[in-house]
Amino acid sequence: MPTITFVDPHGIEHDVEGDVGQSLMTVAVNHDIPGIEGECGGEMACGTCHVYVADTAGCVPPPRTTDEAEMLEVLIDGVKPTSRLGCQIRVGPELDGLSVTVPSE
Amino acid sequence: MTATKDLSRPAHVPTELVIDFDWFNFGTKFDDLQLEWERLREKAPGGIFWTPRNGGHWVPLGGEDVATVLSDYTRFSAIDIYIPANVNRTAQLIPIEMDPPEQLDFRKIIIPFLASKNLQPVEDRARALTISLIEGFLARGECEFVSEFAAILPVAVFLDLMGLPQDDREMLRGFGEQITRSSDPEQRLNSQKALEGYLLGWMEQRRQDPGDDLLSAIVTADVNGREITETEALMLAMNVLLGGLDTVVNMLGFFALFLARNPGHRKQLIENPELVKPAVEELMRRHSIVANGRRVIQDTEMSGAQLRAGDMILGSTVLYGTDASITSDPFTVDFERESSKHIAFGKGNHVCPGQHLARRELKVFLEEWMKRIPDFSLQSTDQLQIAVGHVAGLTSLELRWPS
Ligand code: HEM
Ligand code: FES
Repeated sequence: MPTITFVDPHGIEHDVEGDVGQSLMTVAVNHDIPGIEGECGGEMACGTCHVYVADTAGCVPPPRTTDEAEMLEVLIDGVKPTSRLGCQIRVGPELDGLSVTVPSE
Repeated sequence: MTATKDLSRPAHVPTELVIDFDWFNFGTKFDDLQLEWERLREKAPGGIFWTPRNGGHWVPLGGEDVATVLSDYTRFSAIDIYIPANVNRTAQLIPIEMDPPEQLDFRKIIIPFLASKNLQPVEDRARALTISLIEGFLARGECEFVSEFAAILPVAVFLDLMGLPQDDREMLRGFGEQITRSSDPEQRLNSQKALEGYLLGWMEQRRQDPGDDLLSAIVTADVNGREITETEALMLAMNVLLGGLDTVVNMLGFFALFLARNPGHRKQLIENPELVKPAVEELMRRHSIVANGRRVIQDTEMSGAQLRAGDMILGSTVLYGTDASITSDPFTVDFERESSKHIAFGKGNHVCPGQHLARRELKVFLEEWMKRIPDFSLQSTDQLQIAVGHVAGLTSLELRWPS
């Protein structure tokens, strides 16, 4: 199973394994990563799965869809170029080693 | 609420799962509504039962099952959220009585106005009003909390969001009260029509002369590449109004009731204002007030019961917050819990878009009230009036304090 690193709002790193096909939000919620709630269950309706995705070790998830970009803009204060909704990124073998950061608020 | 054989039940419901339970009438003598739901768990140890009342519906009792009912729209559709099913409505409320994907097209329109990042000015104005209302009755040493405070704040906030004149507050509150509380269906319908008329008038004005308020955004919205229709716009505005009114009123009521009865918790909030934020979550966990229905849309199983497509099922959010397998010692209110897990704002695709606003209103209330009225109690113990239904609440709450 691919391993994903979540850097939580306290700066603590959590290396966790995700099933292929699961979203980053689901993986985080299953492992109780602080700062990720996934309140709407992945429907792009809440913004509580916001993460910053850096290009680590060449792991690049597919780009945002228009819907995701639009929802990020309305839901999140201070959207960065690396901002993503964790529920919209699916775990696949190509993401093994990906590191994402959970914003502090 | 006794097991019964003589009330009719559909063939797929086994007798042992039937309990005669009218969720609008828990029985007359109770003053802790949340404990009444707990009693049902004792009556139906299997975790789910069927009641023939109110058109007949399922009642799951485990917190996780309730969360599933509210969130799994592939099995439980929100096209019918009222139990008994609403026969008299003009049109479906938007977005609450919709399923994805079209639901999201409409949610998108209102979310920017309810997103936390845009709410500070709204909070500031809500705070100013909170202070002036409290100071208005402070010297009297008593108030009827619901009509003199709780019912006013969310109406003012709605008018603020929509950019409507605060002078309309009294009128709007009157419509709202009749729609939710009047037992006369004709009066309810008339108030509903009057409210719609009021909104339609302003909608027309905003179409001509749009501003940067939520109502303008609604009437000029683009829905997946086409213009929003007038009915859709009205139902969306109504949903924002109805979603943010009774809920905040009654949550405030339960907060005030709890604090009036618990001097220790009051003392904690006064000595340590940092606890206000966790207190909001903990009090909502213990007093989650919303219960909504869903229509089962495919045959499925829940806690061993066979549900059929077409059945109605009730999701009562308080059953999650008070589930002992989710929260230890769930009926104890503890502001210093590690986390207060609740679904007071729902779960899944319909999760309350107004939650950030609601949290701010509740926080402002605790902060400003406790500063001015740290010590208060109920006027009398025998007159609690609790109304049950989709939004549970107190119809009145007489408070007094040393003045
Ligand atoms: C303490 C106060 C509040 C509580 C407890 C509350 C609770 C809820 C719950 C449980 C739902 C989901 C219902 C379901 O899934 O069937 C919901 C949805 C909704 N709420 Fe709230 N709410 C509150 C305040 C507000 C406020 C202040 C607003 C608006 C200003 C609002 C607007 C809405 C809307 C528009 C929906 C429908 C969302 C959708 O269907 O996508 N609510 N609320
Ligand atoms: S989980 Fe709600 S937007 Fe991603």
